[in-house]
Amino acid sequence: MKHKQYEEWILDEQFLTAEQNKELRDHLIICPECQQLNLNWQASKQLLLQASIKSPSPGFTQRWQTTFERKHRNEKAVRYRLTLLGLLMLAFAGSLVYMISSGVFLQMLSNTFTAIVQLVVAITHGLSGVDILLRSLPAFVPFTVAFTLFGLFNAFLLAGTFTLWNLKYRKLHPDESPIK
Amino acid sequence: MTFAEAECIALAKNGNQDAFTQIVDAYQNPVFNMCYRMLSNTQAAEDAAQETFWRAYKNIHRYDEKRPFATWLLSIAAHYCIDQQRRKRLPSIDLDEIIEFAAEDPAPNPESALISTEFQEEIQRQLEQLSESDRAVLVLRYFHEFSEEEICQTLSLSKSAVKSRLHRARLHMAEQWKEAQAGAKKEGRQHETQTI
Repeated sequence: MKHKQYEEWILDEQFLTAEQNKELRDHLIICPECQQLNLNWQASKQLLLQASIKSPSPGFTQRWQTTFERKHRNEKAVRYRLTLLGLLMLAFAGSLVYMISSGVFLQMLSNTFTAIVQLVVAITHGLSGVDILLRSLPAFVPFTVAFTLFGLFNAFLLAGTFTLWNLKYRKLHPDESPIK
Repeated sequence: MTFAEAECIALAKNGNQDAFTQIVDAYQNPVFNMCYRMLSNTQAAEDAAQETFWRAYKNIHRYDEKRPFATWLLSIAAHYCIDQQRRKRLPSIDLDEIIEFAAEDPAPNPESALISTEFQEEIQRQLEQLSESDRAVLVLRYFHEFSEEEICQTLSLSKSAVKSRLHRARLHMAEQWKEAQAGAKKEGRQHETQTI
């Protein structure tokens, strides 16, 4: 008989015949390892069997009712959102199908493309206009004067923005100074 | 299952919330115990027990009356707890938990209360060392006195898988006990040396 078999007899709580029982008892007398295993498992098993059933703190059912209400509400909200999303998707898909089938969609695409091209052309024209202005500017105004005027213009712009921000801040926080 | 319970389940299947609340009232202890033994944390066990009942409520139409209701309910709890344990490894029993254990015990004798607390701690500590699935098998076998057949049904495992898990868990528990005894002896010797 292999040593492993005795380990199974000790641990597996299987039915043992009188002969097997005697064999195990005899083995336990001569094998300290199996004897120790048997003692340890029996003690551990007692510990498990004597352990009490752990109960929740009082009011579990009331807490369950609260949980139920909350989860039910959340689920309802999720279902409502999903339905709404589904309807929106359906409406979008329907309108897309209509636009594709009626040719409106292609026309809209071409219109959008034309509008974008026109915008790009307008920007290019605008930039070239600024370029012409800049090129012709030195003929009338010297570079240093133009630089000073440009600087002054920017300074006024910054001061104006700061004043507006300051006024707004004071309106929001009348008791505080914006800068300390 | 009693007739009243069967009636409650039938009513709950038809969407009767009060009937389901009665089920919650009747099964709160085994479900909470299962969750506590699996998660080793009172708050986590409370949340898991609440979640178990919510899942049971939502899926009660799937419950087969031929099976015991406790098996079905504990199956939900066990699977949920195994899942939770796998997702985030919960820390082992903390000091608050030990204090709570001591506070909850209504025993008038402080010495017996201390022994009981230590006893509970020791079991929980030993259980924590097991893997989730081995722990579930052991909890069902010894705390809920399920047969191997019932454990198979609850955890959707084959009989040989249950047998091997039980064997592994018992061996582990025996080893844990041996280690605990060795540790206690060592502590005792240190205490004696300090006293001298």
